[in-house]
Amino acid sequence: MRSARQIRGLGLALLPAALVLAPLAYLLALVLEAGPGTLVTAIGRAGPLELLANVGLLAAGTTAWALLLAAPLAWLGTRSDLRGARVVQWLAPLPLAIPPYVGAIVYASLLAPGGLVDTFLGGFSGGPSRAISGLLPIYSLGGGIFVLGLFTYPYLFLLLRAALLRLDPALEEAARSLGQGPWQSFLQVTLPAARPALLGGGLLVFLYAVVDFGVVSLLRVRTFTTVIYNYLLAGFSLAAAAGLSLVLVGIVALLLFLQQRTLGAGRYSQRGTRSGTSPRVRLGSWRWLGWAYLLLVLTLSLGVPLAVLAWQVARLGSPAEIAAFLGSQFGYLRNTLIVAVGGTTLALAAATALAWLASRVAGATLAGAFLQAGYAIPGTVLGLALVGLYLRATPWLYGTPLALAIAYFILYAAPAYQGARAALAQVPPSLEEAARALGRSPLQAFREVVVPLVRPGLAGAWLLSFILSVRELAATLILRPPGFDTLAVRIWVHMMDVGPDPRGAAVALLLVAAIAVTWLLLLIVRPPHTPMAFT
Amino acid sequence: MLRRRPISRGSSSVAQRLLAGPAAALALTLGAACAPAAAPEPLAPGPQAQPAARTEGELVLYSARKEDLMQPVIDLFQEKTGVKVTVKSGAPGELALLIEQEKSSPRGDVYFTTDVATAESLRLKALLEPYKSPSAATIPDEFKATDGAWTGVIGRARTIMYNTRLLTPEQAPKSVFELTDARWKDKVAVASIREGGVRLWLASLILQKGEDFAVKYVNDLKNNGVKVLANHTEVRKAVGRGEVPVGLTNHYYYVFEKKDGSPVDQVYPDQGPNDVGTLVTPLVVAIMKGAQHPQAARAFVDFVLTPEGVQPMTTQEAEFPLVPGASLGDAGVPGVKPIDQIKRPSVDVTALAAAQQRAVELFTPVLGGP
Repeated sequence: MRSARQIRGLGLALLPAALVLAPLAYLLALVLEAGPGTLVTAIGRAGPLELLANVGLLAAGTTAWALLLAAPLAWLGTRSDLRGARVVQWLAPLPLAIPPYVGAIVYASLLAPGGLVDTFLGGFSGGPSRAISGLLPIYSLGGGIFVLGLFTYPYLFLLLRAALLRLDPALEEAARSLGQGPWQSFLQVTLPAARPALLGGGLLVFLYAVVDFGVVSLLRVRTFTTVIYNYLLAGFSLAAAAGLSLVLVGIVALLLFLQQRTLGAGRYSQRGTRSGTSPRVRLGSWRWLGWAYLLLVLTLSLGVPLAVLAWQVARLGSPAEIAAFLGSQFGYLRNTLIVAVGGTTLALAAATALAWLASRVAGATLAGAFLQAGYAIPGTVLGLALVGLYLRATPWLYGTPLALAIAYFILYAAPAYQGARAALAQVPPSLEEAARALGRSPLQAFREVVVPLVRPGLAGAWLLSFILSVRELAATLILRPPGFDTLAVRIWVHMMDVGPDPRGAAVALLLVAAIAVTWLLLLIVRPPHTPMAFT
Repeated sequence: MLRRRPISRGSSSVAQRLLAGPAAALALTLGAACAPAAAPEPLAPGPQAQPAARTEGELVLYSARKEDLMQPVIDLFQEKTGVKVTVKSGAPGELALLIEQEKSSPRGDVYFTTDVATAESLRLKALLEPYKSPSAATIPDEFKATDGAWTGVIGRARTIMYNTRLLTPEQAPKSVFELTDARWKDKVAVASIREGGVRLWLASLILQKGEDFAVKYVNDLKNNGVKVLANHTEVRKAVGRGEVPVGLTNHYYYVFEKKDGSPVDQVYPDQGPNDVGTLVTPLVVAIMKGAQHPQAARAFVDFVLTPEGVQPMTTQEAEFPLVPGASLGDAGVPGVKPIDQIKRPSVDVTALAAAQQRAVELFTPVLGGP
């Protein structure tokens, strides 16, 4: 039995989900129009088993590599006595500001046969050297895993770190007092408590590797997204690409469903105050290893890309010329911010509403699932589908920046939804129930009790979607109004075909700076984390 | 007993009010987003601007050509006619698909593409507006559509570049088909199939010699140790450095490598009396059907076909104009021939698009693209 309120709530929940379903339906219509034969031939020609294996390896490898990078860092920062743990906290997430395809360009320029490293070594040996580029082939599946993991490990790091911080040390101490060794208490207390973070973060990275296009196309790894793009380039037919895109959406939907099942069962909210700080493991002379590890990760993910980009920018000319060039890019910066902020805020609003409704209105969970489906649609395919849709349904919308912002909403509502759900899941429902019992309406209870607690989490979810929107290229190339280029488009324009280029590097640095500044602003206005204390 | 005292009035549902808060903040941003987009750097027409009679003041150009290279032409055009040009850059295939999706309400006027097959596919779908520019009269028929739907502006020749320190002119290969000989084992570099020029070359191979021949040829090349590099720039650098003696590229890469000071020269392959000739592919310009600014579009097409309009493109990229007798910007660099001196195979452009698709299917596993 559903009250009128429930039905209204469900209707509103389905609205944003419908926005995502519309392009999917359009793609399906294209495929059906072309006939099932087209899809079957397209899939057959692509070599589906080999593709699936490749994608699986890429995603699994990336997740493992990201975990290898993130887990020790999170542990070092929260459970060890390593000095400079604060440094870890501030620096480790920064690689998120560097778009992975920029990272791919940097490492390809370094490690390609005949690239910077080879030339540098060749200077010593007196001839062309292939030592490093032969040992570490960047144009390979391994290269793809390396770059993708390097620039996505912060997702895992942030979630793991938050989980470790939140964990009440009393639980671990209780385990120890019951006779368990440090390793056992880790396995039986810490690890299960970190499971949502591990699964959530791991899935985020895994999914990212599955749908990524920039890195795999630059490093020539054969995956779904690159095959789809080839069909677009050479085939002049949207139908085959649409069909393969729907297969990709199906795979991602399956992964999201699996995540739902594994995470849904347990309850992870915590009651009570944290009693004191966590026990710190004394590293002793092991701390040098800790430092070395820290240094290695930060060098690879921050130091090298920024240094190579800065070196390229220095080739632009004098500081005055560099400044002049950067000044000329501010219009593009403005464009980027308009569409990214617009799309991301839309995404967060819809995601929060749906996440909140998910536990209160039957069927809202399904709407939430639909909302996330957009993440899997390749950018170019989504762009072209939206063009067709806009011109049929809302022609006045096409050719405006809002059309592009909606594309970002469709693409990146998934991370916003995941973040909103994680944030809302931390708040015990009893808090809201208490407020309702004291006479507040559901909305007031939400606003006065839940929002202050989830604001940091929501801000984090907004930032994740924002970062993804700012660096989006494929859909932007299609949907942007002529003359309305974003920074990502300008990077592409300068690097078309030739690789690292001083102007492209300058725009890339501007993009990184834009993300970093927004991040800083969010950190400044974020309210202090309030402990959940009540009797 | 606790009495529920609802404080707020009104009957809007919870969810509606949930969305009200963020919506207010959103309205501001989206208000900006809804406004017509202004191009960040509008280039003002120069002081000598004389708007042509009956030409619209604006033009939207969908360009698949590198922006750096189009910009001087656009600047010249704007100065001469006072028409403000807005450019949307993209990959040739993407832009063609976009034009197709936009067909009910075209937003662009002129399509400039580096891949003639995309223009031809648009012509076959009746998405182009035929226009026979007076300046195009002397262009060889193979470089323009019969109905004038698209017109070639400049050409690229598919040549063999070689390192002069490793090979003398007599030793250099004279035909692409001899590259499968044992003599050239591990000595040849090509770019991956992701490069448009490679796709066009393979497509023309299929059309000229048949699919079976093409498959055998490519496999023989592969078995002969051909190195597949990421793009033409890497090929020219590899030849310039002497890593491989021979590379297959477009002719202007030779010009760049030469300007970088490398010891290179180039051969226009298969020029003999019984040979097929060197493949020349045009960069073409076309007017979209239903363009909003048709007069300006025609003015632009006329302009790029004049010596003045094509000059920046030839000087910068050493591509040669397709109008016979037009001056070659880089005539000072030996080894670059004008169009009337190159023996060319005839290519059925209508079949080229389908052949390209076939080439991608057949040769992607072998020639390295993802």
